[in-house]
Amino acid sequence: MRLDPRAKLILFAAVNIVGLGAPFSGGGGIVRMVETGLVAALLALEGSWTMSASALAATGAGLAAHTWLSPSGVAVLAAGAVNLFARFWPVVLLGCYVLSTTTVSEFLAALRRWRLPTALTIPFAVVMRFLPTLAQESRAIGDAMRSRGLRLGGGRPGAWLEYRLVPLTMRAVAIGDELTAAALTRGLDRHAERTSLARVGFRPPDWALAGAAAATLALWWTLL
Amino acid sequence: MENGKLDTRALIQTGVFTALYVVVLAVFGQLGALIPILQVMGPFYIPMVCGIPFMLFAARVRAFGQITIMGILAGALVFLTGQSWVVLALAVVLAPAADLIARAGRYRRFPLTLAAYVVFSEMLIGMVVPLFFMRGDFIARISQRHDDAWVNALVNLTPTWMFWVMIAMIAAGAAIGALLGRTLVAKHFRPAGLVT
Repeated sequence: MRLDPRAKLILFAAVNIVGLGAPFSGGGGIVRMVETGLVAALLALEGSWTMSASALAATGAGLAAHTWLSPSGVAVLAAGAVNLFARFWPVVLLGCYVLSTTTVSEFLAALRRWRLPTALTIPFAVVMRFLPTLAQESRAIGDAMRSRGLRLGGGRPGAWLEYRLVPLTMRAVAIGDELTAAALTRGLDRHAERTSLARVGFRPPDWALAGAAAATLALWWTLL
Repeated sequence: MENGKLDTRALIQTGVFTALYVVVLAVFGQLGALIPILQVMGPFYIPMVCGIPFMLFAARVRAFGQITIMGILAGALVFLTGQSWVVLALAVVLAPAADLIARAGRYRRFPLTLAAYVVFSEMLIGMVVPLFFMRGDFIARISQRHDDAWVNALVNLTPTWMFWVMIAMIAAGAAIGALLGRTLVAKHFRPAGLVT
C-alpha cells in the first residue's frame, strides 16, 4: 500500500513522542498498546511478519517486566534493559519502515507540498537517503577489518576513530559525490517548478493514518 | 572554494555531512544513556569526536549557509529522536552565528573555524537544560525510563553549578575536537584528495 510520506512523518512523530516518553504503568500501557498495534499493522501490511511480531513482543515484554519484575537487586538491570528496548524498538522499526517504503523523490515531492525551501528539503532528503547507507558501509568496514584479522578492543578509542570513522567518512564523501552527479544529471539544480512522477496526496488510508496518529497523541494527553 | 553560491551541489554535501554528524552524535550520545558517569562526561567527549566530520565539512564548505543548514537540520533530527526542543531553538541561533564566524575567515582560517565549531557545539547544552532548569519535570520523566539508583546517581552528579561547567566542557571538548579534526584532515583526508 502506498502511503503519503507526510502521513508517515506525522505518524512517526506521534509514535516517537509516545514510544520514547509514555510510561508503562496505567494509561501509558494502553497508549503503548495502541501505538505498537499501529506499527505492527503497517509492518504486517508490508509482509514483514517477523518484524511485526517483534514489535508486539517488545512492548509485551516491556509491560510484563513493568508488572512483574520488582525494581530491586539484580532485577533492576534486567527490567531496565527490557524497558529501554521496549521503548526504542517499535520506534526504530517504524523508522526503518518509513525509510524503506519511501523513495527520495517521494520525500522531496511531499516536503515541497509543505512549502519548505529547497535549501532545507534537499539536505533533509540526503540525510534520509544516507542513514541506511552509512549503516551498510559501516558493516562493510567491519567485515573488511575482520577479514584482515583486525579487532578493536576497548581502551583504544583513538584506533576506533582511525579504523572506523575515517574510512566511513571517506566512503560518505565518495557516495555523496556520486549522488551529486546523479542529481545534477536529473536536473535537480534547475529552478523551474519541478514535476514529479512520485504521486503524493492524501487519500483515505493517509487520513486514517494521520487520524490514528492524532488519536494516539490525544489519548496520551488525556490518560497521563 | 568559498564565494560559491548555495547550489544543489553544496546542499547535497551539507546533507551528507549532517548525516555523518548526527550518526556520530547518536552513537556517542547513547553511551551516556547506559552509564551515568559518561552522561556527565558527554559534554566533553561528544563534541570532541563530532569535530572530525565537522572540520572536514568546514574544509569543504563552498558557500555561506551550509553550516547554518547543518545546525538546524541536526537540531531537528535530535528533537525528532526524543531530545529536548531547546536543542533546536539553540541551533536556530547558534548555527548562523557559527557560520558568520567561519565566514569571517573565509572558511580557511583555523582559529576562526575553531571558534565557529565551539559556538556550533554549544547547541548540545540544550539536551541538559531540562535537567537543570525544568528539574522536577525532567526527573519525573526519566525516572519512568530509568530506575531510582540511576536517577540518584545522576542527580548527585549534577548540582546547578554543573550546568556552567558543562558549557565550559563543551567549549573545551569542541576546541580539542577541532584540533583533532584538523589533524585527521591533514593525515587522512587531504592525502586522499577529499580536500583541495
